[in-house]
Amino acid sequence: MSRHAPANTVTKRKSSMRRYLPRMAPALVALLMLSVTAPAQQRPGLIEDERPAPRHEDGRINFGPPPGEAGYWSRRTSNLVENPDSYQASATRNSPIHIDDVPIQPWAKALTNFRHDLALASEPYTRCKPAGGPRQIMSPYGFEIVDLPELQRVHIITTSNSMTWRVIFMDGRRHPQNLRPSYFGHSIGHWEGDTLVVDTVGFNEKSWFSRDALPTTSQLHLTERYTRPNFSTLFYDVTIDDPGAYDAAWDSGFVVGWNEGAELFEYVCQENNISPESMLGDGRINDITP
Amino acid sequence: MPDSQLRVGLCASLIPVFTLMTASVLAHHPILAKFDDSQAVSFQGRVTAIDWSSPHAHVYINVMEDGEPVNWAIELESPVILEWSGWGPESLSVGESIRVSGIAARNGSHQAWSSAMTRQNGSAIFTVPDDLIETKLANRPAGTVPRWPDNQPRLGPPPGATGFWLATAASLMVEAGVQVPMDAYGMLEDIDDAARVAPFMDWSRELYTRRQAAHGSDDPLFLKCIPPGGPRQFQSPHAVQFVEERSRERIILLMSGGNGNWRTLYTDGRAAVNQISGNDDNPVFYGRSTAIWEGDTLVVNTTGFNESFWFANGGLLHTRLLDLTERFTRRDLNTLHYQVTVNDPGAYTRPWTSSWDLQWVPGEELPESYCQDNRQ
Repeated sequence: MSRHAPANTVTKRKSSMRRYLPRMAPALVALLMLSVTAPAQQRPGLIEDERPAPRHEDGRINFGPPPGEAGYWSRRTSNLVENPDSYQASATRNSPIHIDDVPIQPWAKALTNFRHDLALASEPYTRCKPAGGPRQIMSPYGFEIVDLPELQRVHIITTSNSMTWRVIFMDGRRHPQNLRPSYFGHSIGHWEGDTLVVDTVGFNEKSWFSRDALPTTSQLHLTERYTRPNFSTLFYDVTIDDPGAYDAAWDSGFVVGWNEGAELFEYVCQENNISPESMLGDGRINDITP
Repeated sequence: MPDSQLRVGLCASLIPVFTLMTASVLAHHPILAKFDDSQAVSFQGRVTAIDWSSPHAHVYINVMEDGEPVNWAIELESPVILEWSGWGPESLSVGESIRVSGIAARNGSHQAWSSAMTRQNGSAIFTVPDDLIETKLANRPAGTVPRWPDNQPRLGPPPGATGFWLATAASLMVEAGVQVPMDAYGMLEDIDDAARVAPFMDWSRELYTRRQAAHGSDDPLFLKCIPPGGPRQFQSPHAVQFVEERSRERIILLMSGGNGNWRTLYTDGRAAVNQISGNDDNPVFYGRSTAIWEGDTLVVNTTGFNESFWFANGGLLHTRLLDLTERFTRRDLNTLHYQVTVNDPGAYTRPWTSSWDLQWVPGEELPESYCQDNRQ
């Protein structure tokens, strides 16, 4: 925790709560009406639903549908960081942390700004590349958390993000030494109460870990927390620790909603991907931009 | 000695090496699609970069031409295959001087396929043993079919274990009972055999023959990383893993070939229509699959394919009328028999069947590998 951003970096800025209050009001009213008091539920973004999260027979939280039903998760809020310099600044407004509160190193901030100046035209995701960390589940097309206790692993499968999958080992193993950097890194998970906690290292630097255009390095260490406070809401909380790009660890997250009765579908980015040409101009598809 | 390039044209001494290489079971696609085996080249130069990316790793070297450094991209096998052979990006350093012999790209660009790469001291690097897969599979412990408590076979690992299925050189798509010599990529030794591979219609035979004659150079998987739908996903050297989610009455098939996609086999008794948000107006690459168990065999029926991909190595073709029946039978711990029946009245005069075995690789995870990796 020593690498965590000191509290004063947050307090010297305008209060996060104050920024949230207008948006929080309806949710707070809903919470009061429901007399819900669990701490995880007292936060913005909770999707109103009287039904509790489904559970498996052994009592652990079921991140999928109850037996015989269908559904998948897709994001409701979309950015990790409020950033007035974003090419879509208004879309970042309700993010949990302001860019000024992120202990980002100057080079990384400059690169973030450069990427926004290009309107994210250089995002690897638009080249049908997979992306790890929060970016994997930031697509509106959705994902599923496939919990396989018998195999002691969890898979996260996504419709977009090049329609690929990731594995989280739940068998108590540690990260191996000499990890070869990869898109999804090496993930180990465990339960803390009703929260699935996932620890990941070993990322490569070929993809962006969020839609915010924030750079990361191969030193990136992510701690993700998946919590289902009620049937329709998934809170995704993430701690970003990357001494290559940030002077301290920092926290963010977003809210994911349940698409009841729906199933993931096929999405093949390569099928008709003309984005690089249209964003960069004819003949520049092979240009490599940071 | 200054770094120099030797363009040796048709070099007889290189041809045998190259023939050996195409006999390998390992490459993702016929390298002849991109490289010209009549353009043998050899270089000496300094390494400027190592790109350990799928589908194929590259070493970039500066070669002196007329006193000026020219950067060549030297293409190697896939990172997965190279890693299975004991190599990594750390096996070579930027700045090292190396020698390369191989064949040049057909389009005249500064690209070459490496058939041999050596360090200054003469030691070979990034070699792939011809018997890599055989060796990998040689010392697997034998075992019986792992089963669920209700005795149904498991298509995945036994409890507490891990592993995945790979395809070998025998994973060829040819009508059952027909003997047609072809290499591991489904390329015919004798193109006159084309008509014997499957019960083609005239147009589909002609198109198949043209694809073969072009060495598969218009393969959408090769050109654009278009997914390997249909039987082709079971022809990858690092192929698939079955995730049997019995509580959800479905099997998720995780793939490592192509772009590491997944597909769902529904075992909940649903009809094949109107699933995956699709219908006949929305054909997809992996189709829409329902599955039932017939004894120890999982029978998967798939329809709803689009026509934008090659459904087998070597350029076999299909239409959106394709109705595919795949039968998976685990014969023992290490062997999964795959039988596919192609019913496509748009491309073939009658239904036909092909089959091969997939091999279990115990104790290893399905590799993370994306065709799109080194494409900008």
